[in-house]
Amino acid sequence: MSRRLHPIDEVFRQKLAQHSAETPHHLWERIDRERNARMARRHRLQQRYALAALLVIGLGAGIMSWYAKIEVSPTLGSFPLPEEPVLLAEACPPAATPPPQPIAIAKPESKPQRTLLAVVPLPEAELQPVASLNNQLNEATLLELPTASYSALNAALQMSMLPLLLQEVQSAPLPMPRASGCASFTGGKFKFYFDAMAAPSMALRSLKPTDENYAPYADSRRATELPRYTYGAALQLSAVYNNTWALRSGVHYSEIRERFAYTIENEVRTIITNIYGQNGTIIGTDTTIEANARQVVANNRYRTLNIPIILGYEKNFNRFSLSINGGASINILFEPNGEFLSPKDNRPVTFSNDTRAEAAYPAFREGLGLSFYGSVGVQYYLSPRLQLLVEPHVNAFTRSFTREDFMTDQRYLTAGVFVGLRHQFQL
Amino acid sequence: MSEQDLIAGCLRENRECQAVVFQRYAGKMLSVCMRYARHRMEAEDMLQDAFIRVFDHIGQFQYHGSFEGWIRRIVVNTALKKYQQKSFRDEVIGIEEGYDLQLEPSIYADLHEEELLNLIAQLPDGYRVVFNLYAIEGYSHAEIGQMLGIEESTSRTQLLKARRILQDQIVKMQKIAV
Repeated sequence: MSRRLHPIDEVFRQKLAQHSAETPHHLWERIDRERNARMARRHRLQQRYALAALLVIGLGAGIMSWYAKIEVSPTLGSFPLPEEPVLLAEACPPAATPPPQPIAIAKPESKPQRTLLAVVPLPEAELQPVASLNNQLNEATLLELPTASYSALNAALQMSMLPLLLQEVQSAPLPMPRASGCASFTGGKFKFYFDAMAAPSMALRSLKPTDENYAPYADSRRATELPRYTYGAALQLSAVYNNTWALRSGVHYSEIRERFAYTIENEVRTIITNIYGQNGTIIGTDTTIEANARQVVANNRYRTLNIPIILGYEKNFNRFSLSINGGASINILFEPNGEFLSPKDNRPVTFSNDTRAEAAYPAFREGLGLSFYGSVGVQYYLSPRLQLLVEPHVNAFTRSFTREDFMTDQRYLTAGVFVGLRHQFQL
Repeated sequence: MSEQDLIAGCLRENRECQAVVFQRYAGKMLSVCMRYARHRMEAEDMLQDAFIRVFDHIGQFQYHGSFEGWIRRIVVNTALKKYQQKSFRDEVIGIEEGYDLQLEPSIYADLHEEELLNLIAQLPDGYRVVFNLYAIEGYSHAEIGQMLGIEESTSRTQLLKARRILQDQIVKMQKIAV
């Protein structure tokens, strides 16, 4: 700042550095209005994020609590015991007791492949000793035992404090439980999966004028905007009930790409190039004037981030499984960027839905609302917990990407094939 | 209301405080915008964008310098966003030699602020920006090169050309006046 200024610089600085211009009255109103609109938009976006987060958290919590209620804390009523009265520790009166009566464990008549230790109904007065045994050998009363274990168990029982009572039990017939419906403390009816997928896709666009008068503009846009590749990616969690019904959610990202190409005829450009001397100083400039056609090319992108809520039906076939899925997606982010023909003068102009993007035409919405999702998936087990996943899918956006008051209604349906991995995990 | 109270009010999104801040600094900042813009309407758009940024980011003001200086930096940065590197690559007007006219100091003294603003507005985009940054804001060529993403030598050339055009215009104005 302490450098010596050229006289002309000095004059301009002195007279303009602190110069104040008269401000028009409407300017503050414009700023105030714009800020209010931006805050309202920000508020809406925050609400949308909060709603999406609540949905995901609520679904997760619902699944977790259901899972915990059904599988993690099984009740005794779910055990596969016979219908006959059963002696339980909780049913026993504390220590009010006559002396123990002898019971015996019956030896198998022939060589049984499986044997079960069971307890027959006894008069209430005789319950206490059995209850004590039941507490010590709780698992033995519930599980099927191999034959080899039988003699060891018998020996153990005979060594216990209640040999006589056990001998009496031995003399009674052994009821066999139903084979099916064994309680399970691992796995459960719910299985949880994490999917990571990516997809090449294609986007089908519908571009219609909102009024007959805008048909030529819609035509010119169709002529200058051509589809290019589209792709998507997804991270999602699935809860599958009984290997059949699935509830899935996560985040789906997609990027629709188009190419904008427009030729400006007879554009004049002047290019100035510096000419340097031998010591590196500028000794002059070259001015080149070009007058020719120039093609404006831009890669247009429509990026979306959605939270899907998907219901699925699954069917297993050995190492394969098939799934059919359908649901809705809530759009939480929409970013259109690129160029198109301005409705005002049919000249190229950038577009965006970001109000901070200067000179961008405000043609697009800030959010896309709901879209519908459908897919058919094929999964192949690479290992017991890892599956290869191939999932052809479609996603239909229900709202136009453009604003309601814009001249065209622009909608998309994307179709692609997700390929990825599905990992089973335990909570 | 003190400057600190105003800033605190703006942080609470108090509209009255925001209005006072705008009224206090809008005139000077509009003058800054007019130096960078091609015309008044563009300058008003710049000012609007700049003040929206001021209110959005007022929490970042650290009281290290003057509040006016902080606002001015935001206004200048907003103006510069309009003119990306393209303005400096594809300049429309060129001068083949960087020579310098020596004018009488009295000629400058007679010029009014509005006339100077008009002269600056007639400069091509790149020249206008470099002249503003160097001559009025006080940035060095190295800083300008960094801000605009151009070579330091390009900044020097643009400044020479801007001065030359301004001197020519001033001479023409004097001839018309005589």
